[in-house]
Amino acid sequence: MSERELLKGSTDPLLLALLSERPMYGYEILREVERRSDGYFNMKEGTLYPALHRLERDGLVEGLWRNAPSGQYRRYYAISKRGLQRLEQRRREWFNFSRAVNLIIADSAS
Amino acid sequence: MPFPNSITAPIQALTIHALARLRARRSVLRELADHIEDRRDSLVHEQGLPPGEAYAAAVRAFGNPRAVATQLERIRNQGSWLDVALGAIPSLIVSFLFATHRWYEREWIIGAALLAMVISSLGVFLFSGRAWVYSWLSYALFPVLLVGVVSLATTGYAAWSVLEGSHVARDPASWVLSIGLGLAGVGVMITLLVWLSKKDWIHGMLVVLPITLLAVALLVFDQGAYDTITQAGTHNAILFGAFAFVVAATIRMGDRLLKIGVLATALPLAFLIISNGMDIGIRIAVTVLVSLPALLLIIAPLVVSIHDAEADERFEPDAQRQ
Repeated sequence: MSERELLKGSTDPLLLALLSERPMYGYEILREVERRSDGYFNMKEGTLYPALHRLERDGLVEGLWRNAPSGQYRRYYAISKRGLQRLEQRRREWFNFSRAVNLIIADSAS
Repeated sequence: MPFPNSITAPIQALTIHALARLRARRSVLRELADHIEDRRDSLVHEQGLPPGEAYAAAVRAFGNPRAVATQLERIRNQGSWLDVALGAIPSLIVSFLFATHRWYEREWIIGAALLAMVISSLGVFLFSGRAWVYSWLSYALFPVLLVGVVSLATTGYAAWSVLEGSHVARDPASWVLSIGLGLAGVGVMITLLVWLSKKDWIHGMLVVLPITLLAVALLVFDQGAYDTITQAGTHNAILFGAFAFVVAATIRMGDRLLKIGVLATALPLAFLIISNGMDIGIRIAVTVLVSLPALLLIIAPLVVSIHDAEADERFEPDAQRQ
């Protein structure tokens, strides 16, 4: 599976995890994803915005126009209560999945 | 034989204008333009690029903004499955009332109307952007409209009696009350529909269509088009059951043109179900009544697009600035 495909399947939990820390706007999220993954993830706008709007439609995040620290008006996204519940569920799934994969891959390597 | 250009050209121009308005969600455009601006600023401050070059690079990095905007438009138009279920429920309740022949039992009607009023009020305050709210709102408003129309009709009849010199069994207070109720009921409806059409005319149509169908169903019944009350109940149960699916499909679809198609097609189909067994005079009356929302479907987006054209123009150059 390519890195792009891996990112596609992980976009929602990545966004929810970031937004669970604080509300952010689109460009800020892209920078944050890149910074926190040491440049490994280079999320494109064509992936980010549809994902954010889909999460908003499903009530997992809330979009709100407000002033950024720079004074510019930006559309911020904040995680909702349902979003936090979904994040918790995706976290559990991810830990179980990665643990199982690691067990097999690590075993085969040793 | 193809239509001459003189006919199709203005229609095409108006349609393109309307569609452009539908796609021009200013909030989305603004968000995407802000993104490009943020990237441009980063390139200027962090890499020292000149502003023009930085802007061009930011636009290139964005990819195809039209494709992203179209994708966002589809997502914003598409309701979740929960929205779909909530939107279909009120029509299914009405269908149930007809199917179980409870539609002429006062307590059931009042109970259903109260339920619609409570849920739509909560919906308007808590989830006003959701399409399902308007489906409930329609059934909540029907009694308001009914009271308004009946009050105005009885007032008109009483006024006619006065003019004809017949006996008038009304005191001044009842005149004031019936005129007040009539104007209030109809006024609330008109104000709300104008506001809804400006906000999102598909939501407006989700309010108009059930009201029209209910009004037509009652009119047809009143005209004695059915042989038995059971037949009327069954007929209308099918009608509102089918309409619940129409609402569900409309909420779930991402493409606004498809929504228009479904809503517009629902009207003649509903009429075909309703008009069976009616005399020709009533059929014409019903056709006119059912055609009104269809006409609104065509006119409303044009009105909205013309109204907002100036605002769009104010914003759009902003999105393309360097």
